[in-house]
Amino acid sequence: MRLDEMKGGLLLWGVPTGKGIKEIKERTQDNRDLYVLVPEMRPYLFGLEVAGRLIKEGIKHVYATDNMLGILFFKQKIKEVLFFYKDLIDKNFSGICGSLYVCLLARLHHVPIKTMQGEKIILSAQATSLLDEYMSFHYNDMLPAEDEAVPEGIIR
Amino acid sequence: MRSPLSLPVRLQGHTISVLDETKLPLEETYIEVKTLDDALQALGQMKTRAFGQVLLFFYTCVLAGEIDEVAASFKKTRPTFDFFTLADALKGAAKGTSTLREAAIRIIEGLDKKRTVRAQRLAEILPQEARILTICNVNGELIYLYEALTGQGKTATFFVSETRPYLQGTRLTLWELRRARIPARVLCDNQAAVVMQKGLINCVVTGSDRSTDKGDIINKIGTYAMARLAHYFTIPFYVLTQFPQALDIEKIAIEERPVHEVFMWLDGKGPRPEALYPSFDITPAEYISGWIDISGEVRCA
Repeated sequence: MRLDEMKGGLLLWGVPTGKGIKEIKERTQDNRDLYVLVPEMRPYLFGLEVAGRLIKEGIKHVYATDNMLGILFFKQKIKEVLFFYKDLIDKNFSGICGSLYVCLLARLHHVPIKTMQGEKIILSAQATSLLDEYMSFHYNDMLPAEDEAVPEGIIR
Repeated sequence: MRSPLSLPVRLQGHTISVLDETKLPLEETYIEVKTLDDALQALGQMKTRAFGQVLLFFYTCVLAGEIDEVAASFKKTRPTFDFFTLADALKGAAKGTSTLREAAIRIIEGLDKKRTVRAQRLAEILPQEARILTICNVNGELIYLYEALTGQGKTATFFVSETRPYLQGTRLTLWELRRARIPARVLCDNQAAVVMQKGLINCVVTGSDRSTDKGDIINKIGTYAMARLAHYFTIPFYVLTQFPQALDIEKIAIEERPVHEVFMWLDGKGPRPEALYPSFDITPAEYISGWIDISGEVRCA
């Protein structure tokens, strides 16, 4: 899809539960022009998993790598973020790797964020690059991919 | 120490030898370019890019024996990059030399020297203990920068953003830094905010494919987000520029590449949904702290 073809997008971040998928489905049924935007969500590639679930539910969506989100916010292609967090602890939303990146970009572009409880997936912080199978990384070469805390103040 | 990426395209007789960047870091192989069509194929398939495409342009002009048609064809293949300015530079240099080959070699040698000077200038304004976040790959210039920093008694560690979809950060930058035994760590593109929040980095350095006299730049997709976040965390964001022009950056075409490339390196994992692939983004000058031009000029905001 060309960037110009994309209009108001609903950006997903995190892994939705069944309830989350239902919410996305209802949104797209209410607004046929709504583009559901699924980022890759590195390093675990949750985007591919979420895309697979959306396909099963017949929900139309568009895939992008995480580093494309900047231009999408800049060009006002994202109208809302649905942030599927893992936990809410001491006014911090804990989410998958990259949660702070997405929520801060949304805030800096005045895009509203709706929070919903997402899947609480426990993962190894040692996930690194898509090239794992080809390159032998020393552990110190990579930044651990950990859950990130997003202060409530950034979201509200 | 020089990276093979410092001069990834060379002219040997009537053949251009192009380091196939799409094979790195698994294989260090070179492809042969003998005609304009070969060059366009290598360019379109991203066998070389950035400084490599500059070299490829000059050498293709030498092989073709002309400049304007080569510039127009290159521009059609990679629409965001400004090959016409390179064409003008080559025409200018050709006036003072007997052959196009001599003119091209003179420009290229000059550019490479200027890149080392540019690295020196940048090193002068970076912190004493530089912890540098980077995106994509600047063809060996980070090695020049490291040498300049250590030469000035400073230390440096690079945080290399992997730069999806082509993974130029992981495949090229991390590879060349590791070869040169320079401290470097790779991170996911989406970890840029967290490394800034935690104070792991204290500056950002990127290249730029285009820049304007007002300071706006076009660079690899993901640059804008990095600049915007750096601005939020008050972390200086420096850009290496060349040939800034007086124009409206919004009027430059942003190349959108085939979407199947978004799924490269995934080894067939998962579905293949509809996708977007703008390969560059625009960063307005207001989010940039300093511009270090190929001319050696340093401009800080």
